[in-house]
Amino acid sequence: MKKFFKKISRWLPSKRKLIQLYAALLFNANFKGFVSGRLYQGGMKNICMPGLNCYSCPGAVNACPLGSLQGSFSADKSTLFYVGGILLLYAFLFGRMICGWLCPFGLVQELLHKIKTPKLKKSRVTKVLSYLKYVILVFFVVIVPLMYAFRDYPLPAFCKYICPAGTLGGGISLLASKAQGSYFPSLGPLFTWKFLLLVSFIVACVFIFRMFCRFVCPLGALYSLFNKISIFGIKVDKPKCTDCNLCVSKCEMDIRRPGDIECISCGECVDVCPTKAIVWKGPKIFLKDNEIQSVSADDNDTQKKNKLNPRMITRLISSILLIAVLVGSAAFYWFDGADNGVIDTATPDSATDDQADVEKGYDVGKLCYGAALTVITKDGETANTVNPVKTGKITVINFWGTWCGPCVAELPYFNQIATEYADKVTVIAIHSTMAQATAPAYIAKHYPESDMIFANDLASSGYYNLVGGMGGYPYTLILDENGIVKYKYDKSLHYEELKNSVDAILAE
Amino acid sequence: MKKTELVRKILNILVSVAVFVLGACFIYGCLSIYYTGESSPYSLESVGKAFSKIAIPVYISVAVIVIGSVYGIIFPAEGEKPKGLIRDYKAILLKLSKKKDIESLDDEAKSLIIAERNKRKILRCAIAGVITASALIFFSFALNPNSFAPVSGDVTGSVKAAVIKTLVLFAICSCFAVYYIYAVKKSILKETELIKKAENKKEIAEEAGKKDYVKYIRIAVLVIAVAAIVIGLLTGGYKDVLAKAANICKECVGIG
Repeated sequence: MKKFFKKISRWLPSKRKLIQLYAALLFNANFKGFVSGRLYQGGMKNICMPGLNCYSCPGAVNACPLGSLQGSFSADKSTLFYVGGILLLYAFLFGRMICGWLCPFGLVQELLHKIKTPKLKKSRVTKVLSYLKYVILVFFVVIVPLMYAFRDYPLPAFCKYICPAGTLGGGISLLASKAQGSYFPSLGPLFTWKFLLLVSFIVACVFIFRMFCRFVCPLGALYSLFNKISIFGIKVDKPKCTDCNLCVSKCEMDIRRPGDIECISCGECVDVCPTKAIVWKGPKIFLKDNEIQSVSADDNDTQKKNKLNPRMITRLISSILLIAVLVGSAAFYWFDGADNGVIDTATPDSATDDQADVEKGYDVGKLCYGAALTVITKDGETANTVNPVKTGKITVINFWGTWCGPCVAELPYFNQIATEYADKVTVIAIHSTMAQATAPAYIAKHYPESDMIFANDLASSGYYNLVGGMGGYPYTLILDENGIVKYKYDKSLHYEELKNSVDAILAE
Repeated sequence: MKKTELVRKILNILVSVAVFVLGACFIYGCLSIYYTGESSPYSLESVGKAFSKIAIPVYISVAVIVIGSVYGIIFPAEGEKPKGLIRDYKAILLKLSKKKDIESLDDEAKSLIIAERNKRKILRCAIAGVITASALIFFSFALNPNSFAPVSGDVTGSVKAAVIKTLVLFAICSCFAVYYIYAVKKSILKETELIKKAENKKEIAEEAGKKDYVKYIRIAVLVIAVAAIVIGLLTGGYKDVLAKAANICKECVGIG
């Protein structure tokens, strides 16, 4: 019996691993997204998750806290309050315990570290390197996005240039999906850089324990500032501590003491302490002390323990509820139509009546679907509408959003085309259904007298989905005078590409 | 050096080399696509072509990593302890094999400890009874050829019924076994506690003089966090979060 337990014990995951795995599954419970290649777009994405998980991962059901924080600098002030408040609440409650128990990318790193190779031990060098994440937090997460926000350019610098979770969970997952195969032509130097960085992080994590957490992760850096005052976590009972430093030598993070800014509250040091000075913080109903060693000084407590322990019942019920929540979540996201993957071809305003024989659709060569879109100006919505297939000229349809950096970066090129080809080309910039209230102010500031027509996407079904949008912005269609799709672009465009496309249609 | 130790060390080095080779292969593949000189170098075809060049070293590296990891799990290094769930049960097994002498303890503690030990005896008998009964029922069913005779020519149905019956028995035994493990663990822990308390009165040391300023900082942070969230909700700040999160952030994933 002892031998049997000894043999199988190595394969059984610890409680912490189970919780990490549970959290990773719960925060990526939109399994349908991995199949369809579409993101979940439901209400749960209003809420930031505590750990690092890219919101462009098809399975993600919540928003990434870092991405939201960077995005909030260029959004309304209320967004910063909202995101900042959520981050503060998580940090206050758990501190860096989130890194050790709830972060999906932390789980990935720990699993990589299990590959049997010689490992790099911590040292003074790694201790100094651990301060790098604060530099990354200040520079890439705060300063750079803020500087660009002053120019109305949303730039999530950390996400764009460093974050490996985005490349792994978002990029590779999307590219692997058949539905998103059209993104391959969009890949370029940025993807190359991020892929190389991802491979480097993965290789490093095999040899260095939680390399990304210790040296790079700005989210961990932010949470670490609240480690000492967090409600849950690890603390040292100072009267019992003999400064033997067994805990520090056991720990693979760069701690000076359990519970300091580098501690992820994994609990590995709790059993090592000979005087049991390391304990868990937080309400005892959730966390137990070391059961075998703890002694109650009170007779009444012993009598209570002889009866049915409410803590045990609570745990059993909690376990059943947690499993039910996970299964229920997966089922809910699977059957929930909130990913807008269904294209409704029964349009409210279909294409020209005299082209009944032409096949309708959004692929190149087909007659594009039409819709009456509300025109917006710097003063807001107007009573006018515009139908992209009924302009009588070459029509450039660009789907954009004020929250989208690449969209905002390429709008000047569309404006230039609209100005240069005003008599032959109509450029319609259609703002996405989300955050439409921000568009008029943006137009007033940057394009008050533009030749472009700005419009709002349909609130109900979304013209973007109707014409083949797969969840990514910007998205551009170029139609000829008859409304036939000539070009379809799922990427950012430069002026030359736009000009060449328009000139090619004009030459026909 | 033992043979297993030597093999483990060699495998560790090989696995390290394999990890580097794997990383280098992917980096080479990515750069070979990027430096083709085309304006849009990436496509399914180019990725497939690049992967076919590095396929053999990748497969070999993955195989070495898997073999090394499996070997390390089956033959772990000395000193590696079992972790997690089994840790508690190992401690319980040790305690089961070494029953502490309780003659020197006071009568009240002795009677409580003896009650716990009697409870465990009853549990052992109960679980043995359940397993014996289940085994008898199962074998009487499984060794009877008529159990699997198709009813009205429906072979699938009869097999299904047989499987369901067996599963029910298995489920009952499993539930009992789980309850037994749980109850025994609880009983041993209680016995250990009683023994310790009777032998040596220890006081739980509480963290003395918790500084008040930590409490005030916590209250302040909580109030600020909740206020900020409420302000954000009331003014619609969450909508921008949804806008960003519900659409593919192409630059975040390196697409463009």
